[in-house]
Amino acid sequence: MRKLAAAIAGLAMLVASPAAAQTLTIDEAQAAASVENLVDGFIRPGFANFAATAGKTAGAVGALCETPGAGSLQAARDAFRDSALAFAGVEFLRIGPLIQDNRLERLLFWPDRRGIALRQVQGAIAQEDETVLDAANLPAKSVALQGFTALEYLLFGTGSDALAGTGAAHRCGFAAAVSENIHAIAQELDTAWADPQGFAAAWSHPGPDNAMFRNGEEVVSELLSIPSEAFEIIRDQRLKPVAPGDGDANPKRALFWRSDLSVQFVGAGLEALRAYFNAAGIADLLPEDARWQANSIAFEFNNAEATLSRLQMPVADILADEERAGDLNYVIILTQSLQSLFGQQLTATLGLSVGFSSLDGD
Amino acid sequence: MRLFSRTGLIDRRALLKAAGGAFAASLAPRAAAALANADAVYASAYMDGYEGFGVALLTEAGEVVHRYALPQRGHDAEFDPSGRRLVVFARRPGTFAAVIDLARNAEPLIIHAPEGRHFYGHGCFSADGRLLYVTENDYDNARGVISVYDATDGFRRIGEFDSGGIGPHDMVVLPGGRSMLIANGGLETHPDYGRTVLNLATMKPNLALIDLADLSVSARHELPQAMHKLSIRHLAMTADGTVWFATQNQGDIHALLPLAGSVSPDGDVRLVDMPEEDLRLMRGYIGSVAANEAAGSVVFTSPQGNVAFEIGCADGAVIARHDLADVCGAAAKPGGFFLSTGKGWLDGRTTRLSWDNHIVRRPT
Repeated sequence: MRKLAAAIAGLAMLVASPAAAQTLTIDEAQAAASVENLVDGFIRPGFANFAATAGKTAGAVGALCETPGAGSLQAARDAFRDSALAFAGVEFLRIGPLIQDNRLERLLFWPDRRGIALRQVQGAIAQEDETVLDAANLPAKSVALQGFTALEYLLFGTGSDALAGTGAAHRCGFAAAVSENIHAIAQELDTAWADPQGFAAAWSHPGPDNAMFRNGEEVVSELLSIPSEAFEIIRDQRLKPVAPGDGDANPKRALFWRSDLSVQFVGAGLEALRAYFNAAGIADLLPEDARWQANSIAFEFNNAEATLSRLQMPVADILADEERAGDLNYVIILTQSLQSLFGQQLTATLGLSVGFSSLDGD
Repeated sequence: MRLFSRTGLIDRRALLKAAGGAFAASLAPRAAAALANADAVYASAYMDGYEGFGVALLTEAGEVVHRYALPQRGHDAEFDPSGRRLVVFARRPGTFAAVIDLARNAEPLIIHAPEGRHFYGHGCFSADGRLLYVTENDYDNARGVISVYDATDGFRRIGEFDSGGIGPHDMVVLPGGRSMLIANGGLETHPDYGRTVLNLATMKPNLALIDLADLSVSARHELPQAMHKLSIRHLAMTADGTVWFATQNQGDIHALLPLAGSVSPDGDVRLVDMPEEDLRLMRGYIGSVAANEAAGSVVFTSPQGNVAFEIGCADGAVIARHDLADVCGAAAKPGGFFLSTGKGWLDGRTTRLSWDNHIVRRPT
């Protein structure tokens, strides 16, 4: 339905001005190499690991349904944790495959302020809804029934201990279907990123014929906006809703509080973001007089890691302890600092224009 | 500390005495001269170099005539139909609107959003100027609301009604003054989660037509399901009642979906069929739209893409492209559009202010 670009380009008057965007400080080849290194050294292994752990989780939940017992339930719960943490390592890569076909929302319906997932999952259990037992049916259902938050409730929520006995066949079958659905999506992501002609290729081969990335500037802009947005997600969706300060700190607003993964999930995300920064070799792209920015980033990652190591406990316990609650608030500050380092400092240093109007979208 | 302090070209004693000519007479000589030569006056919110916020009156030549400080960042502004009063709306999720009476030497009047609500940064006056409508978020109930203020009675809140969707943003009162079109952006947000979109998978933006006689929704225009992540945000109207709308893609911006369109007075929705090459430059995001009646064109600005496109109203063809870093503000001027950027560019002039997303033109 669209006209050919060439047909109209000649008719339009181009009005360039001195206020046009700045220019990139690195060349296109450097930008492309950085993305190639990131894809090979971080993104592809990350999604491969996610697919593998999701496969193991599906296997463990299947085994639980086949042979219910305390041991098989524990194995299924452990496998859930492994795949959820593997997901923490890639969930912020909200470009290309993950944001197509609602994959992200299907994997993680969160935040769920109004408790929709809980209501729908409990409803399906109460009605012994047969249709949720087949993974093939799930993609057409509400995203709240398809992903990690549903699976977490099934494996860790009220009534989940019954999975160790023989009387919870429906719940177990539901959990098995969800775990298979997660695995299927994880495999799609793995395949899409591994595709030599896929999004990865488009990102690392900018040019006039590339529909997504025309030049090095667009390549680098994507490279830096991903972590910048990731820190904001961690702050606004994972930390702030549970943090003390607004007077209504509530540990049950934490993602994965039932499986006690809330803090570990944040930790895994930050660790992955550090790996992202290193794999892309961003420090090496900086001019000599801006190397301090890489040091600042490393410093803040270290601070976050050290602080989170003091928070290896249920969120409720963190909130009950003033000092630990203070640590939690400190991590929020660190995510703000990291977001500014990536989203403003690095961006400006590499010659991308940072907009006043474009920063937070309205 | 005073909430408002006046800064800029004139001091407190030289405050505005009246709209129009009397207003000019009260200004410092340089500002008055600038204004005297101006065919048009505009207003736009800004941030100064010290992270202070305000709204400024501007001439079409890009001169800053006067500045009013704001307690927080403003977004859109609206003049009342007489051009005497200017209302500036706090950027979402802000909770105030400031009413500036250009004819009186008085502190701006502050309207506060009620408990549990925040504004979205936009509003408009009724055709007779007696009522002010403001888009509002009833966030605990995920409900879009239009609140109603009595402009004849100190902007007292006198009621509210359903916006016909989630996340109402911009709105216009249609010719005749009997109905209103609202851009319901479709995004559910809650202050507890920053700007996180809470309903990305199910978001369903619309253009809701409200019958102002009984405040009912008389029509809802939705985009096809494949475009449900295009958040309809900003509107510009031409005299015949055609409303141009601009969207922001909350999904995969590389999918190159059409980002703008128009609704005719009969309710026909048409999408602007831009060449792919131009479309991709906007990076899935239009920040502002303005119509120029005389020129028969509309402009769409993309601060994300550092680009603005002028489009012919009749055929939707691209007339001109402006490459400007962080361009967003846009309003009609003779022969074209008055544009501003977050980098201080003001239609050809360089200023030290970061201009916010919108510019409005004062009615003459």
